[in-house]
Amino acid sequence: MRGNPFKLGSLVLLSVLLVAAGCASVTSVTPTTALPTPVAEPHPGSAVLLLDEQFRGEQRNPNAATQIDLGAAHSAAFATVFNALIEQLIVADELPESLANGEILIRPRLREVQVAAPSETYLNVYEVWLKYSLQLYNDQLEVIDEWFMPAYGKTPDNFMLSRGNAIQRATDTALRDIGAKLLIDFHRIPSLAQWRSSQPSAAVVGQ
Amino acid sequence: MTIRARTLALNCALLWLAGCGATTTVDEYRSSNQPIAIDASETVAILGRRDAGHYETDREFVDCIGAKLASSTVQVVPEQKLIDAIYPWFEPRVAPKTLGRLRQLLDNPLVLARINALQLRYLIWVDGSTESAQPSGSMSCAIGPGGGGCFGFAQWDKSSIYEAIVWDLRDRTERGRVRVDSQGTSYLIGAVAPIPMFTPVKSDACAGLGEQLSDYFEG
Repeated sequence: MRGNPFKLGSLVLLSVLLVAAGCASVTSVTPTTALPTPVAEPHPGSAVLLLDEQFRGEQRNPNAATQIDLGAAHSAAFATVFNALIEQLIVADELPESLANGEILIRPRLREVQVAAPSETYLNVYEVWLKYSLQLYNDQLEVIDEWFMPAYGKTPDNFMLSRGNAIQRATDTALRDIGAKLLIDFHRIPSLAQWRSSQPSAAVVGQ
Repeated sequence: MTIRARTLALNCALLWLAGCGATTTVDEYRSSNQPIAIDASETVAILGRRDAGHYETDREFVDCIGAKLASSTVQVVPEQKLIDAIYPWFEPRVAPKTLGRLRQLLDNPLVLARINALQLRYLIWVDGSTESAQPSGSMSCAIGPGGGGCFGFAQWDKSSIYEAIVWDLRDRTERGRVRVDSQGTSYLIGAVAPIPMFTPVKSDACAGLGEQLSDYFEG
């Protein structure tokens, strides 16, 4: 029995495409962590936390096989942390036209995402690094500093974890780490302290 | 069953049990020979150390010790509940590693208020991991039209090393340390079907540590 060569060719091509599509799958991860209410004394003063559209919808591909939808989780994390850090906080999604006297504006930006799998590091864990920067604006909407902060998260091991679940767990841990870093270090940013001390009003953040 | 067959079966069972045995050593240090006093209203929390780069104390092990320690006299606060209640102060980045740092942390009235709300009196830090060595031996499996099977022999060593440190949050002192070292060899025998004989080093380490800590609190 002779088969139709055109049909046979199409079948082979379809099989190759199917195999190629299977090999090139992208793991899509959406972190779900919700930070607990932090144990922190809010500093007096007021600030605007700018979480713009880009930040709220942030999606990153740290490598060809991974996509992390960080937008919702990191927006919620930053809002939780700054609500605990600053007494009067306004969360905005657009740059305001002006700020009140002594008010500051904080704009977090995601700079880099890296993922490492056991196959790359020969360690028994999945790891995620997040690098953020905080742009700090004074009440004249001038940038006074940009402060960079890294965060790190890993899984306890890779036993019985799918790649997607492992990266999600490591990202959740990294988001908790960024919260811890901010809660401990935010009020120690030198340029922020310097700007505060130069202000005549006692209403500025942290005084 | 003939006597010979019974003897063979008995030998196999003994070999199996011997293969599954682990050697566990428990060392302890106490600041006093007296049992640690704890009121019925006070609680204990067990936390795993997770700040090392290449390993972290796994939560299942911490839960296992908690289950061994929990009794009518000792109430154990779940690990995650404490970590969340005092966020971010027990996150790996900032958790106190020394008594000096703990005293500094307890000087924070907000932290102290949360600890008092949980009626937390003792904190037990657990640090360690279970490691498996590279397997030795060889095993090959094959399948054909007439059936399949595995033939050969493989073995690997496992060791669980953990240390627990008990901190008294009221007196802000260390009350004792327990170190457990459990080692054993697991086997996989291929006799048509693969027969595993796993050594429960981790559960032995948990039992050793849990019982010793229970002894601290109950005398």
